[in-house]
Amino acid sequence: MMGFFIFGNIKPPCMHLDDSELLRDFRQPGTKERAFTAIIKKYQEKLYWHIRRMVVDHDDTNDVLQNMLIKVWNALDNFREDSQLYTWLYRIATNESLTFLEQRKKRASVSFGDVEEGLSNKIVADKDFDAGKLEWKLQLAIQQLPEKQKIVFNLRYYDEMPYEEMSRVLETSEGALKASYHHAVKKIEEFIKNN
Amino acid sequence: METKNTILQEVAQISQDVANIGNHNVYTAPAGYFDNLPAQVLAKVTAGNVAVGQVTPMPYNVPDGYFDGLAGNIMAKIKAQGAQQKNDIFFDAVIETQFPQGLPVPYSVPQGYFADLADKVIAKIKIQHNTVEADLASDAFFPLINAPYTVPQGYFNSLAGTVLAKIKAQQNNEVFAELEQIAPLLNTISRQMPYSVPQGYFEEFTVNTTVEETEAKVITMNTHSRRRWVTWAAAACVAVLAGIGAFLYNNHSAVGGGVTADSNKTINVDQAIASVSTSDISDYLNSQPSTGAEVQPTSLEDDVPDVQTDIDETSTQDIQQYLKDNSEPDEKQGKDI
Repeated sequence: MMGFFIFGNIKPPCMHLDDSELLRDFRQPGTKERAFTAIIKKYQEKLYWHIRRMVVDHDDTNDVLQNMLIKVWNALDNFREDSQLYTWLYRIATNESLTFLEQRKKRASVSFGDVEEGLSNKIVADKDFDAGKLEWKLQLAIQQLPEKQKIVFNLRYYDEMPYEEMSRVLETSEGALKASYHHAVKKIEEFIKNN
Repeated sequence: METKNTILQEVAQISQDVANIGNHNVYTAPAGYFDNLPAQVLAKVTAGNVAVGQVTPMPYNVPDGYFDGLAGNIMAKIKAQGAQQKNDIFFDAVIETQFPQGLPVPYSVPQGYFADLADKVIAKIKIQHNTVEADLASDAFFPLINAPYTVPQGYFNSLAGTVLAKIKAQQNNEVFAELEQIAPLLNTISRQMPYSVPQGYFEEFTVNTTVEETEAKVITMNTHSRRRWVTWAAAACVAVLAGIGAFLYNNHSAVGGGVTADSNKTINVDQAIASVSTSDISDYLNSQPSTGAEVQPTSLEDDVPDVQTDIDETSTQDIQQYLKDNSEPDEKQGKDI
């Protein structure tokens, strides 16, 4: 787990700053850290939950989020702004989550199906898990999906992301995304009805 | 008179006896009755629905002897008022004589009080005015103007966020409508994540950007090489079988009746092969375990019930995209940003 570095008692600037302003401040040496902190505060919860829906465990989520934001720190200077900042952040978070799961699979020398079973077990092992609640059944159902369908479903269902934005995040055509979402929803519905 | 006589003549023509009676009035009225009659009738008419002859009693009581001493009391008061006026005049005259500058006031006033009184009053007015202006911009304004309504604390602070959330909700009806068509059940499930987050996590979250990121060591398992070995082994087996088959075919066609010790063996093999039917050969081959990639029989109906449906519903472009997306992981390296 990455160590923490406290930036003193610096209070982040207003979170309602425009992304372009934050990027401009980030590129100035004197305001770089403050702008980066503001970007984190602005998007941390969204990115956190996007990652956690993939990896389930909080500690794993924290690791992935930290790694992902370090990459952002290193690469933000070269961000071309040809897409929205949050689209770019989502793309990094998605790839970082997939990389994490892939590495876990290799480390455990198990098939990816077993990794999914492990994630389902983690859900069941959560201290707040309640098998009678539909929200928990939904999480179990999501873990049954193939990776791509899982990401598409999460982005559409939870983040309510338009297909146009999603295609930029996942670099996939809108038609393929719609098909993935449709199949994912059907599978989830079937899982919930059968369980 | 002419009318009266005409009537008498008429009665006489009818009955002389009746005409002889005369038309004298035999009834009498009380003395003076008709003198007061008009006034009495008018008084009763103006009194309303009062029956003739009835008197409505007054609801008020008057103390006994009130009217008897009324006149004397009024005169006494008149006389007393006149005496008071005389005393006031006397009092005023005395005051004017003794205190030509007015009666002395028993209270004292601080020195210079009146000198800066106007400035003090104006200053207080200004303070009150500023206070009112300040309160106009805050929630305390309403109590100052005694408004009958109150606003929940912090209402205006969260108003912008509430309105934006509602606007966003209207825009996101598209997602809701889409899900309603595919699986309405999912629209009934709360979108709030059931996972718990450690308290204060987001408030204390920071990123250590000064630590160099170390690439995690990726230890490749031999799964891929195993797959490749299996593939090559299967290809080798097929090649060997083909070679054996070709070898046997050539020997069979090249060697005629002459046999050697080896030929005996070959001929024996040829004879053995020739004596075996084609169905037996295929059964034998199928019964032998393959050294190549084994294809486990699967039941499409049991494991993947909707594959055919998925394939039918998926376009060629989507399939190509799917294949591209699900290619080997090592082909994905370098695609992070």
